[in-house]
Amino acid sequence: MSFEMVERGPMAGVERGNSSSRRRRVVIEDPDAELIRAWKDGEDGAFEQLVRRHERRVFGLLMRMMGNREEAEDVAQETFLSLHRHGRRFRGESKFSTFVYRVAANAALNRRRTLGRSRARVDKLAVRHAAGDDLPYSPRDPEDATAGTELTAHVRQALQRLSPALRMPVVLYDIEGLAYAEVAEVLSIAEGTVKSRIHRARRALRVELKDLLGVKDEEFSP
Amino acid sequence: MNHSDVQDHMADYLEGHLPLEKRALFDAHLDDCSDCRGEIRSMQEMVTLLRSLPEPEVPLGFSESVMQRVHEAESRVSWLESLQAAFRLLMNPRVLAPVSVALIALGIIGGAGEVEKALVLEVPGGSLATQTLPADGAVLAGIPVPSRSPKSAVARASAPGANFQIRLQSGPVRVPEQQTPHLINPIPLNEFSQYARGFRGGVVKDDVFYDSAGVNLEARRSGARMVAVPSRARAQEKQPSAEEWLARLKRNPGDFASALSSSTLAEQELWIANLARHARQRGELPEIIAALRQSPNRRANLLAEDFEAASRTQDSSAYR
Repeated sequence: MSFEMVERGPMAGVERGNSSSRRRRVVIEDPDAELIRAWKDGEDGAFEQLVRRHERRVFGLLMRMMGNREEAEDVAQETFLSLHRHGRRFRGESKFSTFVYRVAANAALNRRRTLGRSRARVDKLAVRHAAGDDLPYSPRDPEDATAGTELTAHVRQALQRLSPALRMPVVLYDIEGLAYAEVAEVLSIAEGTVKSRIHRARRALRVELKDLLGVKDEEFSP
Repeated sequence: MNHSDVQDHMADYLEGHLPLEKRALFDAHLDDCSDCRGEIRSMQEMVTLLRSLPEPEVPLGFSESVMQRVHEAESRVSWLESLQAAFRLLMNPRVLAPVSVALIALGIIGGAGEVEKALVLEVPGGSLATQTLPADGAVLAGIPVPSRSPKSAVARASAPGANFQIRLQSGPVRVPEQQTPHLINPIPLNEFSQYARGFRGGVVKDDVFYDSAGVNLEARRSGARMVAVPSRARAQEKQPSAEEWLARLKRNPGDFASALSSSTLAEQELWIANLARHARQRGELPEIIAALRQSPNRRANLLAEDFEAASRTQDSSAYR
């Protein structure tokens, strides 16, 4: 498939992902390679830098998947703790960012309240909530700030109504900006399956959002 | 190209992944078909909406919070891992023979040989392992030591107030020849693990071992359940099968959940995934989940959710 043809698609002008750094069709070297080496060598601060570098994409993915900030933050923390526990075994067969996505995706799909730990977390959240201490989130969250805009809220709700099996690929592809092959790697499914799930997800979303799209009802066939 | 073809190729068309010939056919169909044009337009709008969602902002102090938990886990894991590894080593029949020899190194049983790993209780001036004599067996901080009085051994090896450590020694360890192999079955896994979590070494005072919290380890030891098991018989003992584990789980979900909680997270996941798979294959999963849910043990109730989650994950229809 040539690059020229990609540019000529009807969606070519609509950038996927929210950050320019997300789109990487051709990667020669993993940009995290140096940090990973430092981390494996036990260098202080290397893992923290990796956390900072990947926290945005992990949190973004988990917000779309969990649909709730507290839950997303909890699973994001579990993701990085899991990375810290097992990530040194990362052998570089894929990009580290893909590996991170995979750990996060598994954490989201396997969301389980681990004995003790999450109980403490839930207790902590309950205490914070009781104290009315949810202020650090609200004003800083652009998504909440625009929650008043019906559009964003509707799209988020529509995403949440998708099954995780359809939501995950469409979030990774359309929102996080991964390539089909990367989505396939993250989810350990065939690229063809990724494509078909994205298509099914989009069709389902289109039905959910038909009132916002200004298209006649008869044009929709789920 | 007809409506059905358009459906099949819409995703590739939208992304510009269609070969030129197919794209031309696709465009030609769109020129003639207002329904398909409308569908493409609405799909484009929908994808544009999706891609224009604002990016959620990471919670303030997120990375600091992660690092705090990492540091907490690190300090906990170093002790827990070494002692749990030691415990597993002792309890696993596959390594029982070498461990029996390792116990010889501890002076619990006599003999000579060489093993790859041994538990060594270190005090200034020497190790307890070489200072003690064969005995009926006892447990000190989860490590089998002779009941012949560790304090006297320590008294010989160290001055009052000396700090002591327990470590898992790797590499060839020279031990005496094996004579009457015994394995001391230490305190139950759960108790051991709970104790090991808080164990940070100890101190010798008036010839008595105290841990860092000031608890008299001998007193603690006396409350532990200790059983001497001939190692050969134990080595031939069959590991419980998945069915047996499931039967145990159904019989006493609370005990199972408590014991499981002393494992590492990775081990818990493995156990849950394997048992959930076995239970599902045998059609027992609902029964297992119900037993866990109905247990008065809070850990068992949480485990019910884990089994449900593992079952959902394994449901191939969801993702494969």
